[in-house]
Amino acid sequence: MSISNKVFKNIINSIIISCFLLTINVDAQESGFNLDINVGTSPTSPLKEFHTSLKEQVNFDNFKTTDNFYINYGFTVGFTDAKLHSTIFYTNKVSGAKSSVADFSGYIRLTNELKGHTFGYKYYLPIQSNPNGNLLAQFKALATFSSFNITSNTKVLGTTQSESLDFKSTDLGVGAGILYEYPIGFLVLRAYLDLDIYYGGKLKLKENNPDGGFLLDENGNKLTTGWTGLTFGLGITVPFNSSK
Amino acid sequence: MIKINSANSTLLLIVSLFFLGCSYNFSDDNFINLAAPSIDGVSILLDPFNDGDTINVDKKLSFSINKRPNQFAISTEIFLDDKRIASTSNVDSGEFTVRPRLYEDGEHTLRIVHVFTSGTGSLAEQLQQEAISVEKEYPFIINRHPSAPPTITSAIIENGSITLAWKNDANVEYVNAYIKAQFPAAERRIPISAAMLAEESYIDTYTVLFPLDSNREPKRDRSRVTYSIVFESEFEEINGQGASLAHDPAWLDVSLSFVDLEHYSISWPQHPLYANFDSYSISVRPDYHNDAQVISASTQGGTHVIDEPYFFGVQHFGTLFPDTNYDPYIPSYNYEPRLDETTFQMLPILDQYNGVDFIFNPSTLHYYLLAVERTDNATWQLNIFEYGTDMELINKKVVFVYDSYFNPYLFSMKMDPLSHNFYVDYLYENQNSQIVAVSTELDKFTLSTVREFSDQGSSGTQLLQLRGSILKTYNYQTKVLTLTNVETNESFYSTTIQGSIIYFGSYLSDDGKYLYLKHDIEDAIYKIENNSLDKRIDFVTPPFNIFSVDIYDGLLYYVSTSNTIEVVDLASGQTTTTLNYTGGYNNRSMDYDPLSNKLLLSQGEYAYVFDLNSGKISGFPFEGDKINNWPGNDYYLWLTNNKLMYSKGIYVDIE
Repeated sequence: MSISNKVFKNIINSIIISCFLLTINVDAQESGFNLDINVGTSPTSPLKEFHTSLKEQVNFDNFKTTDNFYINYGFTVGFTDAKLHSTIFYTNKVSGAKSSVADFSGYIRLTNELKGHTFGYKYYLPIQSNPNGNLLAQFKALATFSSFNITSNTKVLGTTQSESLDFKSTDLGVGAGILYEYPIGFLVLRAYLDLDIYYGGKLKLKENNPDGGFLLDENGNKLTTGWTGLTFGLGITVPFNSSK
Repeated sequence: MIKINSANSTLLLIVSLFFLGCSYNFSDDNFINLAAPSIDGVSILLDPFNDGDTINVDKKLSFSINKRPNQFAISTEIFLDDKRIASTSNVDSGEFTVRPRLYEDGEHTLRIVHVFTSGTGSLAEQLQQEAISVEKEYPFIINRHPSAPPTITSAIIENGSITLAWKNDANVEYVNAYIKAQFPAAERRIPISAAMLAEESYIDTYTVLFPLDSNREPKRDRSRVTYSIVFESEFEEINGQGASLAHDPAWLDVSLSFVDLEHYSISWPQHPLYANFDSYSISVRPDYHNDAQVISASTQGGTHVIDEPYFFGVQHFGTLFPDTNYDPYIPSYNYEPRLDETTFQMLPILDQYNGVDFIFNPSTLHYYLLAVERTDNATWQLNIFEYGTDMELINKKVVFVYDSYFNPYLFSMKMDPLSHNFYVDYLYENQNSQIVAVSTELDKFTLSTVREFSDQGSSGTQLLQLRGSILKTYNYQTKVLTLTNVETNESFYSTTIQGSIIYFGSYLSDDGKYLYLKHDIEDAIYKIENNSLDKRIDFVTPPFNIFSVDIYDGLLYYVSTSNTIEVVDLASGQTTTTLNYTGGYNNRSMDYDPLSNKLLLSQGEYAYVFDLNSGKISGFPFEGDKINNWPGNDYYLWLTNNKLMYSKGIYVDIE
């Protein structure tokens, strides 16, 4: 299990513990500190085809694709100001693709990992409010700083060979969705579903390259990250006002 | 209520997470569970080879590796005593050669190492990094000598050639193989391939077995052959056990047959090796004075009639020469043909007994030979041998036994034309050194004495001849000839023969009815009648000598000085037959055979038979000189009952 996976599990554990230990009724749309986990899709990501084309260039029996940017996931932290109906937030999300084959003699792996650091702003419009929770519309402005890694890793008969390339891009986008908040104790449980639309920046090598160093597909087109898609989030809000 | 410091702790945790960041949690590798590399089921075959084999000569071996279909050859290396002698790439089979001359005799080891892909389909194999190998060792022995060749188990003659057989061993080794035909001092080698060897038989259509004269070079000897198989290598050749064949004299059983008095034939059998040569030359001659008759004789056998009379008594000889242009070393062979006993009938006892007269008796249908015979007591005895119609000996009549210190001479036998009794005349010397002359009449059936007259020669050596009722007495010293009628005991005629000793003489016919007198004062034939002589012929041109005259049943037969043979009827004095004759006058004898109506004249070593019925005259040579083979220095010819008898021991029937 990777280190990132352990961290992610710790976050989940913290949320669950908080939910059961702290029980308080809160009003809707309170200012506070937000912590969410989210899962998204990016069905139109050009990186899917990119990985497929890479995989097809590797001619080994049973070389199989098991991941191909099917989902992305991560967490979001933010600060909500109820008066301003706004939240600024930071989202860390990852996605990836993998093709591999392994047997007693070793393995061959081809992995693509896409990471995004998003800084954004949300604006909320209340739709419905009642003691059982608040339903809000939210609109987002997004700036994502992405890194994209291509790694091929081979180990056969004890001989290891590895190659890796790192790209980066800056992606701007907007999003809209609905948010449902449900107070539990002093915390507010929140869930949302957004549609994020990005204008993807071109992926280029992290290292300075006089030729540009863009990541190109088979046809020579410059590739983008393709973060556009639905994002589902589930989290909590820790209100700043600790007394009612 | 919650404390703010709890939120701060949570915030601190989140910030920490930010800096730690998240990584994508990839799926596990697509692991394929494959079988590990293994050499199970992989085998190496080497052929032809068995552990411990002995390799004598360069031997080509084939190897092959059996593997799974998904296992592919990478390389094969063949080591002999750890030195690589061959290698291949990417193939499952191949050949290499073990060359014994490069190694010492003794134990060695072949090792085959085969490297091939594992066939597991693993990444390593796909990257051609997963090869496995098998190896196998083959101990063997180098012996730089060829194998023992197969034994020729049989060499037989069939269908005119020589068929050899052997039992083949498929594992034999050699560089060259031959079938060797070993003659006494020469050999011939026939290269044979492995395929021929495997056939286990060979037909030799080349060899001709032939005898060799002693004066020929031994290397030309083809009289016997031993066949064997020879295996040859670089260092040695080994001769296998063989089978032999030898020439059989019966193969060249050349015989002479009597055809008639002017022809004889030569016959030769089918040669057993008739398929190996077509013909051979046969020459035959009676002596070096005659040109040889040369015949191209088929090896299938045959008969050739020679347009020459047979030379009686002479051992014919000649040469045999096979017409084989492919074996010019075979020389001609001197041979002597045998006489065919169906046409040349044999009575070799004639030669041993020194017979002088041979007579067929129409009353008994038997043949009678008067001859002297050496007894076990080293004495001589005068015998009459009686033979049946097939010349089987029926009886032997001892006429007289001589004393040991006296050799017999001057004996003869005649047959009375009327009674068919025999008259035997002979001389002997008694213990008083007196010459005794005897003339006796023997019964034709019993050969017992009917009448006998003798004279002890008180007045000199005499000759007695009893013929019919007449006894002729001739004294060699006084030359007085006397005729006596033994029935009346009256000596009615006496005369003294005068003149040259060569040509004089007298001849009393076998029936005692005619007397031929030839001396200086007369040359005439008288008929004896009533104890008196009645001259019937007074020759103007007399016969050359007394032996050229025969009288039988009132007819005179003689050779005239005019090169004719005359037949005169003594009753009328008329010549009834005249035949031209160029054989000369010096005939030793003239004999008339009443049964065939033929005359036999012999002179020196040539004889004629006159057929008075057809007038045909046939002449033929014969050996007449017996060369100091006492008693008797000559060979005789007799014509009786149409059989020509020759005293050397053969006779023929003439037509």
